[in-house]
Parts: sequence; structure tokens; C-alpha cells
Amino acid sequence: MSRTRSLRQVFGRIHTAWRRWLAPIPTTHAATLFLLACVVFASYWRLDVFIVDTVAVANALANVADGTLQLSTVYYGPPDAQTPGVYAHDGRLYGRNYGHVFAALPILLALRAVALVAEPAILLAGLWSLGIVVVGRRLATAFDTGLVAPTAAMLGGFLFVLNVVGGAAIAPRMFPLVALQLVTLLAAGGLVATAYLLASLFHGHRVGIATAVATMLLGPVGFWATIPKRHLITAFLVLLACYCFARSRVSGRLFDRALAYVPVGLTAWVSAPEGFLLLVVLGTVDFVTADRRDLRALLAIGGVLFVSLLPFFVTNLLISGNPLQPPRLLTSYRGGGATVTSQPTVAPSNPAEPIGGADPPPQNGDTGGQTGGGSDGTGGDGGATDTPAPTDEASTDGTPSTNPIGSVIATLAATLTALLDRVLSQFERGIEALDPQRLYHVFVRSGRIPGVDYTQTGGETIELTLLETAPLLAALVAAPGYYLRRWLTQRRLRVRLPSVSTLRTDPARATDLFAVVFVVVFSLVYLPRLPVHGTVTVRYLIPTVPLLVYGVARLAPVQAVVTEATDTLARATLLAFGLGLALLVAIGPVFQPSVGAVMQAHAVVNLATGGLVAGWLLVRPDDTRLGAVALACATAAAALFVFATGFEYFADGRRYVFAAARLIEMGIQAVA
Amino acid sequence: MDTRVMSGLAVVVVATALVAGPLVPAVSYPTDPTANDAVYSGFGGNAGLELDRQLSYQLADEPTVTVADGAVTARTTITVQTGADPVALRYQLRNDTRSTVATATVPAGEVRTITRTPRLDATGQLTLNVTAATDGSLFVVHQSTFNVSDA
Repeated sequence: MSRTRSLRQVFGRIHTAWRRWLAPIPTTHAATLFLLACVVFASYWRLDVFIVDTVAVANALANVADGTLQLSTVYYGPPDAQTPGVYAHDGRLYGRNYGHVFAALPILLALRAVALVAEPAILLAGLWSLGIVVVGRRLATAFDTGLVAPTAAMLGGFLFVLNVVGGAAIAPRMFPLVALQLVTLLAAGGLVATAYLLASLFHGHRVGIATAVATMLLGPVGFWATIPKRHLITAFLVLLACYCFARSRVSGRLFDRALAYVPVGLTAWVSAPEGFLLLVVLGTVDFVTADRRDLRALLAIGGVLFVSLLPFFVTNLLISGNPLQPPRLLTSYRGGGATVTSQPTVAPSNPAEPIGGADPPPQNGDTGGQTGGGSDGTGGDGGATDTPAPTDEASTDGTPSTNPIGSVIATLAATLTALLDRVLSQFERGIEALDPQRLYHVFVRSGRIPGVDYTQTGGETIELTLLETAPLLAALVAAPGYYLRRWLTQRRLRVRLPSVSTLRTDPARATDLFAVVFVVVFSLVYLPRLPVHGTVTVRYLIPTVPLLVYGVARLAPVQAVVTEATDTLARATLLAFGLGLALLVAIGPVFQPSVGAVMQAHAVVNLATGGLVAGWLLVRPDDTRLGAVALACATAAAALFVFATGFEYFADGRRYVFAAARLIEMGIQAVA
Repeated sequence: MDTRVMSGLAVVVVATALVAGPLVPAVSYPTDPTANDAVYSGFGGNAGLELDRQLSYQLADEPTVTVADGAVTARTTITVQTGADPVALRYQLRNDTRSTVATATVPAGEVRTITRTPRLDATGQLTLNVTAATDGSLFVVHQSTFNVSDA
């Protein structure tokens, strides 16, 4: 009885703390932006595998739904499961990104349950239409206008009819893909809402909403919103950690501070290296800027971190037997069809890298083990046994450990050391990779990038840089010049860098520090692998993009534009988008360019708008009207890129989830 | 008004989904025309996307296992064609307690036939494992077990 009461008290306290935490959050605007983003992203949702690595994750989900972590049955791709992102351990094959897989599992089960009595395609179309109606209603309330709500209601109803009449059922074999895509889409929506929460925390609703809309329309976010890759999910979790961290500095509560560590474990579950990076950055910045570092605080943070990491540990334990060894640290499986027989057998010749557009092979550094897999294509019991050899390079006698606890500790320590060693070596490689040409082709201008394998994309130059797909970020390039100019014009002789005490007392500065350190560390780790084919918008750096947009929102001239010239900014954005679309439709049929050529055209236009933003900040930062036009052009150019890639350039032969999207695509072609 | 519109739409959605579902066989909603297509469609459809063979290999012949003076040798010949990266070949012969390794490296963009003969002073059940490592990935080229008696 007393135990029940104490349990109630514990849950009651958690509930109260949660409500207290939630109370100051402007959930209405956040929910509207979340819904708006989901509705926008879903409008060009395509049901297929865009990057071949997804095949491994989809196979993993289908198998998890069957009750097994290993790839016992191959549902997608080649029958021997030989696709990037498959790993081998003890003769069994596994996928990766199990955090993504388990997040999609309830959706998959729900889809299967719905399919027993109803048609999921129609329910999805209905949800999309209802989303449009709700967004219209909320916008009507926000802008106090009577026209928006009925228009949205009519549009929602019309689109539903259109999608039902022009649509088709979704085959049950596609449900795992739908589920994975829905998780990415929801994460993208969450990312937009969190961008609003973070920016509005320091600069009010208008700046928050502008930041969220800008985040939504940028190429690295909009392009990948329905493509089931890990990047947007980890980007959302990183931004969530940043927001929780910022809130903890505003409120000064330990509860808020501990909550910032929840996304760490979830990120690790999706991508262990990125979770590790988040932990290193968050832990360091938190420690430096915290007002208390007593045992109670550390225990609370450690406890929350441990609990958040539990799913990651358990998954690893079940797969590799080592809670710290995620699938990504196992040996990459590239086929081979090895079997254990009593007679020597000849393995089949193996064409590696079966299809294009894949992630480049990971740098495992793990060449000491054996890979194996079922030659029957199941990767199951018929696979190669992986008896650990006692030695690698020399003949020695093996001495198996007799102390199991010591063995476990030694294994964990060895894994942790290997992980640290790997990350440190990545940093080292990142610093070595800081050559101007590489930086130029990753961040500024793509063109035909030397070293990128364009055969993987049919010879098309579709790999763009960060600024070419997110031209708004040019404001950050110009920021040092802006501050220098302000310093010179205001004749302030002393440059004051924020001290540690400032970082402890100023929540915005502390959050800035987190953003800067994360962006630098994350970029350095991925820089040696860039530029590379199949990234389109430098997708490896997507987790840094929302933080960079937050950086843009932190600039005083940008805030002035958003708060003082809101109408001009909104109208100019719509006008620029409309003009851009008209130009695109008019020019397209004249030149009939290839996908690579139009992508490069977008790149150049986006860079030009980025130049406009940078020029405004450097020359006339106090002119809010000019600023509004510059920011509007950059936002519209990015949005046009997302629109055109979503509905036209990569649409050929693909199946949209909603028939209305196909109609838009056909409409563009008809007008053109 | 808005709530009624939303409720009405929700009811219509659920009703339409139920009618199109398996419980009402009289209404056959169109099946997915791409249901059996390959899920991977690449950047512009499958056309134009060529296989990029980073590595191909072929065991030239079955390994020749010989026993002499209590030692086992496994002569293994492999032909390797490398892509953009060099390949490290590893010929490992082992039993439960001992192992020996012979290695070879094939530079990028070459075709070579490599023979190695790992030798192990052991008898009983032995395993020959040949792997090729390139660009962070490991391929099992050959794996076999065999029994060697003391005689």
C-alpha cells in the first residue's frame, strides 16, 4: 500500500515537473509550425528508396517486425542482402540505425493493423487533408482573417477527393518504407518546431517563426524531409538538446539541464558516432557554463544520460554482445557468400558496390575479423562461423580469459578506447583536411568537383554545396565583416570576448557556444569524407544546419528585419518565389537542360542570393527594407530548389504517396 | 463551424478508407502499379547508373593443402582486380590455438594474380580464411576447414 503511494508520489512529481517545464513553452505556435512543416513535406512524399543504404534499414525494420534483430529474411534489394549498411557478426547479418528502426516499428504495426480493415493510403491522404484544414484554422486565428480557414477546408476536401480518385493502394511490402519515411517526416516537423522554440526563447515569436520557416524551406531540410536517412533525425535531436540546454540556462533548473541529455542516448541509438559527438560537445559546454557541478547535479545528469542510453546499450548487447559496440563498428558486409564446409570451396566472384548513390563505405578500420553471411541469401544459420582467431599477424598461443567480469570490463574498455581513438583520429584527419579547395567545394561552389565519382549519379553534377542549397547562411559568412564594420564605425577600441562568467550568466551566449562548438566539431569529423557523391546538399552536415540558421537569427540586423519589416519580408518572399517559379517554367523547355545542369543553375542563383544577403550585411545592415528583400530572395531561392527537386527534377518514374503531387508535376510539365 | 468541418472530413476519411479496405470486397480500390518494382530508383531512374566495381576477385583454383614434417601448408592463388583503392589480401591458416597469416597488397587499378602459402606447425582441424580488405570494407574471398592427421 505504502509502496503504491510512494510510486504515485514519484509519478506525481514527474508529472508536475513536466507540466512546469511545459508551461512556459509556446506550444500553440510550435504545434502549428510542426503541422505546417509536415503538411508541406508530405506534399512531395515519394515512396521509394532514394539512397541505396536505406535498403539495409528497411530490411532491418521488416525483420524487427518479425521479431528478430538480424536480417533473417531479405525483403528488399539483392537476395544476399549485399547492400551498404549491412554488417556481419558471428555469421549473422544486421542493419544499422536501430533507433530509427524502433521508432518506425509502432507505425509499421499500426499500418498493418489498419490494413486489416481499411486502406492505409486513403487514411494517409485523409490525415494530410485534415492537417491542411487544421493549419488553415490556426493561421486564421493567428492572423485574425476569416478567409484562410474556409479556403483551407475546401482545399483539404478537394485534395482528399483528388487523392482518393487518382490514388492507389499501398502494397503491404512497402509498409516498412512508409513507416521509416514517416519517422523522418515527423522528425523534420519536430526540427522546424524546435527551431521556433529555440529562437523565440531569446528573441520573441516573430524571430522564432521566421527562423522556423527559414529552416523548413532550406534545401538540406526540405530535400531530405521524406527520405528515410538518419541525418534529419539526428539534426532534430541535436537541436532538441540545444533547446533543452538553452532552457536550462534560462530557468536555472537542474531538471531542464538533465533533460538536455535525453537526446544524446536517442541520437546514439540512431547513429553512435553522432551521439558520441553530441555527448562530448554538450558535456563540455554544459560543464564549462554550468553554475553548479556538485555531486547531486552530476548524478542527476548521469542518471538521465544512462537511462537515455539504455535502448542503445541493449540493442548493441543483443547484436554484438558488447553494449558499447554498435553495428557501425562491426565489419561491413560486402557479400562473398562464404560457407563453412568440410571441403575447400570457391567463393563466387564478388562485384562490390552493387548500385550507385550509396553512402561511401565507412572507415571501419576493422579488418581483423571475418565477415560472413548465408549463401542462401538469408544471412542466417548457413552463414560463416566467426571463431575468433587467437592472433592476427603472428603465430602465438591463445590464452582464453577465465574471469568473465574481467573479460567484460576489458572488452568495454577496449571498445571505449577504440571509439575514442577513432574519433580522435577523425579529428586529426579533419584538421588535415582543412585545405582551401576542399572547403570551397563543400561550403561555397560545387560545379564539377574534382574527386567526386559522378558515375554514381549517371554523370549528373547534382552534388551541391551548403551555401548553394542554404543561401541564407551567407549571413554568417558576412557576420565577421559586419561586426568589424560596426566596431570600426562605433570606434570602440576594446574587443570584448565573452568571459566564462558571462557564459554562465548569459543563456544566449552559452547557447551560442554550444552551437559554435558543435558545428566546428561535427564539420571537422565529416570533412575528410567530403565532398562525395550522393550527398546532394552535403547531407552529412545536416545536423549543423539548424544551428547555423539559429546563428543567422542571432544577428541583430536580421532580427531588425524580421520585427520591423515583417510584411515586406513575407510579401517579397512570396513574390520572389512566384517569379522564380514562372522563370523556371518558362526557361525549362527552351534549354531542356539535364538534371545536373538545372541543379547547377539553382546553385548559381542561390549563391547570387546569398551574395545579396552578405552584401546587405556588409554594406547597409541598417536598411531593413533592403535586408527584407535580400533575405526574401535567399529564402525564396532555397524554397524554389526544394519545390523543383520535390516535384520535378527527381520525379521521373517515382511514385508519390499522394496523387495530387503527380498532378502538380504534370501541371508543371504541361505549362512548360 | 470549423470543428464541424473537421469532424465531417474525419468521418468521410474513415468511411472511405473502410470502404476501400478488405472488408468491402465489392469495392476494389486500384492496387499499387509499382508494387513489384524495385524500390531503389536512383537519382533519375535506374537508367544511366552503371555498376561501379571497386573490386572483383576470383580464386584461381582450389587451395592445395600439403602436410610435411608435422606442418601444414595451404597454397592459395587469387586473381584480384582493384578499383579506386588498393586491396590488402590476408591468408590466415588457424586451428583453435594457433594461427599464421600471410599478406599481400594489390595497388589501385590493377589486375594481379597472387599466390601465398601460409604454413602452420599444427595438425587436426584447420581453417583457411582468405579475406580482401579495401576502403574500410572486408570481403571473404575463401573460407574452408579441413582435417589433417599427424601421419
